[in-house]
Amino acid sequence: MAERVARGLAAILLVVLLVVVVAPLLIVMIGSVVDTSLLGLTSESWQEDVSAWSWFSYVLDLYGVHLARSAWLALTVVVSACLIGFPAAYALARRNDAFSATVRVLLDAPLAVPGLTVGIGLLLAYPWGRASGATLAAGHLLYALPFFVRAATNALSAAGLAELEEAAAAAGASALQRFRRIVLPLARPGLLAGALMAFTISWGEFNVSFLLATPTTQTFPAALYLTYTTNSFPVAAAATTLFLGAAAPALLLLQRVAAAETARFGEAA
Amino acid sequence: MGRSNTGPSLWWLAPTAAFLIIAFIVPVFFLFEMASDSSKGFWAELAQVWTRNHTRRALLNGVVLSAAVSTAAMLLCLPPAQLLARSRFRGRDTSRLLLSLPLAFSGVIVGFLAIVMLGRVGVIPTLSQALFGQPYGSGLAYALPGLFLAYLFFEIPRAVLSLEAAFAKLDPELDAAARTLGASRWQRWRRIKLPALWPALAGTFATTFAVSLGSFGAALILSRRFFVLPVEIFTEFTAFSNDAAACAMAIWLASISALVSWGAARATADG
Repeated sequence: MAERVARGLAAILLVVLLVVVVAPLLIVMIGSVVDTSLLGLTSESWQEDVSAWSWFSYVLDLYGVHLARSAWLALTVVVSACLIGFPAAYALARRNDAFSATVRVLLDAPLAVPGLTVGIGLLLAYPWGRASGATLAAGHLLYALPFFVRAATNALSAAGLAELEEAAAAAGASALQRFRRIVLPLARPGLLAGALMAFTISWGEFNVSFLLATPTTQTFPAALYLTYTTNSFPVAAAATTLFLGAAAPALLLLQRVAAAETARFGEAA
Repeated sequence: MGRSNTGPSLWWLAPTAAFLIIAFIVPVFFLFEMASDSSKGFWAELAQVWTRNHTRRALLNGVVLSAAVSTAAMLLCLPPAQLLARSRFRGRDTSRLLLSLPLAFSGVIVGFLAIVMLGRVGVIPTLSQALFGQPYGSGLAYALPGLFLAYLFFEIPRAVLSLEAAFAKLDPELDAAARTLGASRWQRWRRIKLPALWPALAGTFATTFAVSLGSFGAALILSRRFFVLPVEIFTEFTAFSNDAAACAMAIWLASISALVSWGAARATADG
């Protein structure tokens, strides 16, 4: 009996959390395509003769360049995370020495340090890296890399992978062959999950970005801040919906690829 | 080093190690350098964060708010996390996906959502006006309760996901054995689940605390009279170009955050 009451309460709490998370998102998404003046959210900007969807083209005109820049930045971060993170994960999965342990601790260290702090440090250390967006990308990568490496390390430590590789090496397979025929197919879900996490982090990053971005390197979340402070509700809602349009599929895919890795993503900074 | 002979060489770690030195260690060093560049000296600059009423209040505000939000998130998410980990029901994967959505949001979006729901003409006050004739919750977004709810919003996925993983790792046999031996529900919680979950609880608290303490998007949009340190740092740095003071505050913020993470890691190692 007590068991059933407890489960019932847990279920109610779950529904409450779902409502708290989903209701504002639904309202914003509906608000971007429907006249919301009834709810008092729209003031003067809504025009009857403008079709609802036109807010999207308006937002795309305004922020298309920021959207493209954020997408490009996220892609850069994902590729860099794979390039420098994969070798690191491969070594961390197989090695057990003091240097590897240090790298492991150092990788997670930025997660305990606020992004704004790191942003100021990057700005002071490399003032010349701001205009090109180099420090911006470095700041994003700093927060994305730990998640990629963790997911990749888990995938590469999978039982039997090392033995399979040894057997293949003994049978005369080259390093490239072993990578393409054994490591990559077996570790693919973990690597993909890591890449998706890196994408999601970069796509939504604001703490580091707002300080490091110049008007010409402004990311979409930074542009969203300006929308919220200056634009009317339908424009802000449409912009937010566009943001969700990329973030939600990435999270959906992440759950499909590796549900277990999603749990570790709970520690995202 | 017998094992490392067969494993990949240390050079595989070189790109990542080099990147971490360039993008993390050097910038942190520059923070300290800038704070010690002050005419007052490094320690006086650090002390001033604590002696000035305004910055001390912002620092304490953030610590108290983050601790409260983390505790609330943990308590609210514990039962649903157990449900997600232990029960099979329709909509379980969908629930988890929906709850994980705020992970991708920056604080500014959460701030905007809070205004949409609880702003001066937000959805809740408007509905309340229609239903009860009183705009309950109007403007709440800009006050402390709004900030609390906004922070809670983006801590929900972090707490749910990491606690679910912890519940999934619990050995159900242990619980069943205790039940056969006649242990009460409370005894089983106290003696079996809580000790096993303790590291995860400490880790979750540290993560949500660090995220809340360092978040500044939501506060930037929402806070009017309740100041938190990240916003103060940002203003000091960009509007007043008082780099030394901004760096001193940043060092406080990072140290507290790192200390809590370190404490949680210690607790995890002991448990």
